[in-house]
Amino acid sequence: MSNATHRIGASTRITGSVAGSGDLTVAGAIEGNIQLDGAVLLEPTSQINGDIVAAAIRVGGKVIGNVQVDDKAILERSADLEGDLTATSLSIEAGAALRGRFEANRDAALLPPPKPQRNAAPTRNEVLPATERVSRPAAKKPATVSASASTEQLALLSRSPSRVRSDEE
Amino acid sequence: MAITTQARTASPQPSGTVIGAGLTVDGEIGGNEPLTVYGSVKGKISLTDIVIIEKGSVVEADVEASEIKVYGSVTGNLVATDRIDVATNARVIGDLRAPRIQIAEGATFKGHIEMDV
Repeated sequence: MSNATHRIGASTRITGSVAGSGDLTVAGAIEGNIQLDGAVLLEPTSQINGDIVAAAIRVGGKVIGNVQVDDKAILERSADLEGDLTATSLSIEAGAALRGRFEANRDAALLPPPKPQRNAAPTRNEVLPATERVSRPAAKKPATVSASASTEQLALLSRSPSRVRSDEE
Repeated sequence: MAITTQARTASPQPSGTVIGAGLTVDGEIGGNEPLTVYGSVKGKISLTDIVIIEKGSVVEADVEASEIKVYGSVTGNLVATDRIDVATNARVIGDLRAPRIQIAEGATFKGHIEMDV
């Protein structure tokens, strides 16, 4: 099951690795690597010291380590990322700090958007396109059951697009 | 003596930190907010709040907390400053130490119990 949501609270500290499936929200501190097949949301209070591999990421806190996502990476204005970033697309809000290289996942970027299939478990690349469907009011069909389970998390990922700048540097 | 603890027995909502099903934490978890585990933790848990080990979870760790509730499976020593509850169908292999300890009928337990007063 990749629909579970995990949360590391603001006054929790993990020393060691975090791995598995589902979406992860971090408000606390993690000293170690994160490997996840879902989305990672790092709140402004979060502090990560380690490498992150995930489907998508939204950074609001401080990260020291390399970040590699299959899909979209968003750096909020409070983000402070020291390390290299690999993603299909990148959004950086004014005020965010990125010290490191950004590398586009070109192979993934050239792929056509995946079509959701009935009874199929969501793949990594379906995660964010599903969000876009959800966020449009007049979506033709509801997202597949498996994709809608983490709608709330995904809505967070897609919120406030007007504030997001795309000045990739 | 047990009367004072009755007020706290209302089942707490999952808040604070939640390790959901499908997630594995390998290392140490520390902090001062509630921890609920549905997934897997290997290493050590050291909190100043309640730890709830839910059904279906696998914990291979020593656990220190104010209160520990076990509905799943734990291999490791449990130390609580307040109380330890091992629920029906829970499985604990390890020593228990707390002022108040409850092991429900149907729970599996192997280890020592120490109730320091």
